[in-house]
Amino acid sequence: MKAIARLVRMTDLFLILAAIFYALPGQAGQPAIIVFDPPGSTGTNPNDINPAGDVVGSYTDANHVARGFLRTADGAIVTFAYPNCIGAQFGPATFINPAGVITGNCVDAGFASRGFVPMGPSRQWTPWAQRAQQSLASIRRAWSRDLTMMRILSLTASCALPAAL
Amino acid sequence: MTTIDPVSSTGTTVAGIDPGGVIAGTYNDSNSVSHGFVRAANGTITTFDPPGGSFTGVLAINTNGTVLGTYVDNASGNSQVFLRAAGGAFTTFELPGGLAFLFSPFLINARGEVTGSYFSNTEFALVNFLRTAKGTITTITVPGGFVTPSGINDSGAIGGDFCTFVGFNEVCHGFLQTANGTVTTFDPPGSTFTNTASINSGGRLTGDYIDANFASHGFVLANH
Repeated sequence: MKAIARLVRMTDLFLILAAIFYALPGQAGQPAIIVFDPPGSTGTNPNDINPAGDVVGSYTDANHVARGFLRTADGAIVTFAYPNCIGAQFGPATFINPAGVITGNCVDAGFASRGFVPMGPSRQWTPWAQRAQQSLASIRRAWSRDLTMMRILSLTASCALPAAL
Repeated sequence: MTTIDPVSSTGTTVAGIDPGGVIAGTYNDSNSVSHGFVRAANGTITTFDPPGGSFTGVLAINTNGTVLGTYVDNASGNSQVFLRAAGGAFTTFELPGGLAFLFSPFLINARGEVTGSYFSNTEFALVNFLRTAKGTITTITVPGGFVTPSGINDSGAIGGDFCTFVGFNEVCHGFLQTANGTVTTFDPPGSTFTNTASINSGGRLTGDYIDANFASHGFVLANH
């Protein structure tokens, strides 16, 4: 009887340990990774994250149209179109500051950079620059992204940002 | 809208703005020689080149108003890196092996720590670096590959990616280096190519990855 009781206790212990093991989110010391896509995305490219954990970036929808997204720290995703833009390598949603203001750039039908277009709390786009204007930071990130793509194509050596601009 | 053009500028680009409204950037003069500038919040523009330097290119400005950039040292002809404090004092340094080309954007945090990757003059090797505010230069040590820092936060944590070749295919992974130098590598589940984009003050890292079907997805990595 004692042997049976001991076996039951050992079985309970095993089950408890097993439950704890499977309840753990991952291996100790390993960072947790959250993956996401805006609804309808066929390609997602986050660009920036602010102190609150809000992520901005661009994605391509099923019609091959580039759009922007904001993923707030709680996981909610807001998507938006690029007004008057035909191309947006990074799109208006390139940077987000601690206050949640989003900036970026796009290219209009005349292939001119439309510069920064901030998005306020109302989520409405407001033209900020009336003529072509592009921040060096955007250019640098564009270069970085291009380099990444170039690296995929193993063409790194032909594409490097000059040290002295 | 306010346009920003230093006197005699034939082309102006803005690299960043600090919390006090100071804007830093680069402009070209009529001889197509570039110089740096800072524009105070009241509109006053100060142009500059590091002492003995030309072809100045401003890359970033941190939250303390320190400007980071590169220039050509007139005496040696070498490309070097400068830091211009908010008060105008310069610190210059040469990167190990000499700076030939930037491979990734150079980054600076509020503590004045600078990181980036570049091709060196010697053997045209790809080198990454972390320079502390005191001037010590080290490299980020991940298990081999081409290292590209994509962000350094004010705690000194660096997020980035590193790539290796498997046959003719380049495979990239993410890494996170904490301020004490501990490096954690990672890949989102199903990733065949991980590309980091930015790290925030809390150590959260974001980026994208490519799956086996060549579709890209976003990810957020929580620091433990």
